[in-house]
Amino acid sequence: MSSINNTIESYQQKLAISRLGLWLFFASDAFMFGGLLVTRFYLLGNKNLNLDQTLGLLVTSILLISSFFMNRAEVMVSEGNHKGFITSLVITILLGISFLVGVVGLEWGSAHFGPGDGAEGAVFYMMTGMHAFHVLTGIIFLSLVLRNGLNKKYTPEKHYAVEASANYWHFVDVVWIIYYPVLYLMGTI
Amino acid sequence: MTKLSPLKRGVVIFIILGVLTAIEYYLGISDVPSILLWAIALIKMLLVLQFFMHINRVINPKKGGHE
Amino acid sequence: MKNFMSTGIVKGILYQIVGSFIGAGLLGGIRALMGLSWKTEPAIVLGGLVGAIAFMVGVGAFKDWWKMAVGDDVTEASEVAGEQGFRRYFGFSLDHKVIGIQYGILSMVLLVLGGSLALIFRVELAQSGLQLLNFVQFNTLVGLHGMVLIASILMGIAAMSNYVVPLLIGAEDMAFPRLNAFSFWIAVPASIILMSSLFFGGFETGWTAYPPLSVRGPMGIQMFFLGVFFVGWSSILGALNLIVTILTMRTKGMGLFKMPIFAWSVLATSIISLTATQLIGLSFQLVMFERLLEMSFFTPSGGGNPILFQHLFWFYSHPAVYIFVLPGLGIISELLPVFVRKPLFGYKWVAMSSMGIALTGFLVWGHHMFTAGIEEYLRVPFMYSTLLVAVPTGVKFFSWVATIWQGKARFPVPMLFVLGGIIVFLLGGLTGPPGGTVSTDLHLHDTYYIVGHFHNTMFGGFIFPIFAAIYYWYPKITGRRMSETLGKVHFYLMTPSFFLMTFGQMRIGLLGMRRRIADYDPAMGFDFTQLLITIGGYLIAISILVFFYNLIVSAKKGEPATGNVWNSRSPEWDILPSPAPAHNYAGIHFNVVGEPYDYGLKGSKYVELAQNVGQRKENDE
Ligand code: HEM
Ligand SMILES: [Cu+2]
Repeated sequence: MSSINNTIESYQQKLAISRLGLWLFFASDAFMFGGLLVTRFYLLGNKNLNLDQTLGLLVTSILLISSFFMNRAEVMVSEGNHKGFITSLVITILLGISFLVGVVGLEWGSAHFGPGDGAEGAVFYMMTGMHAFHVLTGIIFLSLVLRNGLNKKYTPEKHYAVEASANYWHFVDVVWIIYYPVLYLMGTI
Repeated sequence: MTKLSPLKRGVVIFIILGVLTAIEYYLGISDVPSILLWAIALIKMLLVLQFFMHINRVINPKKGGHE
Repeated sequence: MKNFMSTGIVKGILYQIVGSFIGAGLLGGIRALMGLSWKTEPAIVLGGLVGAIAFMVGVGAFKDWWKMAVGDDVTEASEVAGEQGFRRYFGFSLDHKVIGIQYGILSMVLLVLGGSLALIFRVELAQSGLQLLNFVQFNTLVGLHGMVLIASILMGIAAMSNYVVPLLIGAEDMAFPRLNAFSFWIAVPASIILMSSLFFGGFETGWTAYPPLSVRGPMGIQMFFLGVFFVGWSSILGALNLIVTILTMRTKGMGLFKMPIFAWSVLATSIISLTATQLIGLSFQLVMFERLLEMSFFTPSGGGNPILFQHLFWFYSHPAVYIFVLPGLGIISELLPVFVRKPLFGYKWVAMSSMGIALTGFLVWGHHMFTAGIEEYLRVPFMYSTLLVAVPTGVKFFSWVATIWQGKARFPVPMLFVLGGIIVFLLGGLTGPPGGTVSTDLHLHDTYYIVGHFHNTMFGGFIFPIFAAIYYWYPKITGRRMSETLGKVHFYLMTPSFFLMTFGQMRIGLLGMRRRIADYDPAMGFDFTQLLITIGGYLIAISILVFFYNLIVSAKKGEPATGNVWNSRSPEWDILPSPAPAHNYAGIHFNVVGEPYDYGLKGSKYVELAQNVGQRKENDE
């Protein structure tokens, strides 16, 4: 079959194609998150949700730090540093889980409204819930990557799965970078 | 930025992001116009897109493989 | 029997049924543990969700992905030896041509289902007074007719794009074959869920599902939402795949401006589906959550706002109308030069007009909301942006007219449908601007005139072109031609019946007949026209039956046609035999040596087999 001229021949080309697909998925997903952003401003305008600021800063920092370790993990696998890669990945996953505990466990438990309490509750739970769902899927992807990483499936040359789930993780972080000020900081009480 | 080793670059970007977040937080709790918060969020977003997600790799696929 | 049970689709449906019960039971169980009583609505939602996932497991969509996820090797998609013969259309296949046909079958099944719903409620409307249906039944049928046919259209354009695009651009398959199969199969449980809304009390809102009615009405709306949600994912992922395929998998030497025009229109369409579809998914999800958890997004007493729903909904659903028509218009531009033997007039302009329509389409959604109570200052800007869309659309019309001008036209069946499509779509385009102008729309909104308008656009932009496409590419699929005589019966029965229907709709609409109303005052004098519309509808249905007969019988008995039946320049006819071989151009080298549509220019070619094929083969081996 070597004479097929239009097969996806090289790993390089396959990589380019997969990357484009992944980014298009991000673009698509971004529209959904954008729609929620519009919902927030349409319904609540310049109103502040009066949330627990300490907790907000805490979970934001956790997610930011997890992104940092995610980046380290990806760099390390491409440098062939297996041990460093695994360590950074584990830290990322643990931080991701703490983020979920922070938002779903603490924030949802302590907020002064429930999902059924007016537009504020609706917007807040929908936005954080949708984001938390993405974090959860991200953790699942990373756990699979960790499993395969422990089995030494990734080489410095070939580790697209690591790159893709890292990018997904950063994407979820980017969403929170926008959502954090929008939910916690903007507007007047 | 390109001269740094990727690991060091990660640290630098992380520090910048952290400082920006701190500024954002203080601006946020002291009731400044939202436009400032938007500006900071946008800068943070661009930093992550550029340095953590390597958006160039997809825009400019010729540049090649992983790091 | 065992063979039958192991067919992908049968297994999928069985899994879906079991999954649905498990999902519903799970929710009931959890509620029971929490000491709550049984509640049907959340149970059917969870049941539907689990059922759809179970379907995908049953059909085998996750098998390879799971292997990849746990780090095992999977066979290259191009080396998977799929099932052969007729069976392969009913199981999980990775071949884009098989998937294209599967989409086509699903599209036609939905066409029949959705069409039948309309035939039922048309009987009710043929006479004033209530004869057959009650209000909820009537409303359910109208709404489901709309959405089932939208699903049919989405499947139909996916069928055309999937089958044709890789052939046109000289690719061996789509960029992500597994994702491609996934996109198709998710639409099957989605259609089942969508139809099941009939059995959960129906819904009263029409296809637009506006709150507050959708928040308060019967719970069939939940199945409607869930079905659309999965159809949406099918559409998003399919679009993603098509964009990547078109951008990265063109054969060597085929620059973007050398690719067949249909690929351009698919690219433009896919950009819309990829992004805008998220918004309809979101708006429907918000209503689902509002119903399930009492989150008040759209209820003013709780601080919500129903207008928000309309913004989110139309931000998809206006661009969606261009999703429906752009591929069809691409088919028209693609086939017209073949049948008039002249170059497509203004290729670049036509290509760019598709992009232009796609982009301006994002700016006009407000024209559906002129009477809804949106902010005053938004109305006029939306009016102007709406009228602006006419510019790129006009470009296409000028191109078609100029292409036909002084051509040596032949009139086989596909050409008839192309011309029919142009005329009907023109009518659709002309009836749009009165709806887009605020002053006239205040009178026209929510009347049968609008119904007339969009049936024109959808028939001209989708129904006619897809029939043209089927008649045209049928030999490529089966190696046989469809009967010309039956095809002409189909065309000459459908076209006048359609005009009867649509002019009737617009007439009573202008006189004040409201849409989505089961009954009307006999004193309005609509009875006779309503009867004519119903008759028109039934005649269309009969013509489509003729088409199905032709479609099925010709597969066995049609006149064999293996060569370049239409004398086309594009590679799938010029280079490949019919039926198209597996893996398309595998083992064939061809070069792009000219412009795609230079028909009638002596000695010019679009594609050419590479001279040194033999040599290169030897070198490789
Ligand atoms: C030149 C182009 C077009 C213009 C100016 C136009 C304008 C409009 C306007 C203003 C409305 C809203 C009328 C009302 O509800 O009061 C409308 C409705 C509609 N149009 Fe178009 N249109 C155009 C092309 C199309 C095309 C190409 C399609 C589809 C394939 C389409 C499908 C529809 C549909 C489905 C509706 C009804 C939505 C509903 O259920 O309320 N239109 N059009
Ligand atoms: Cu519109």
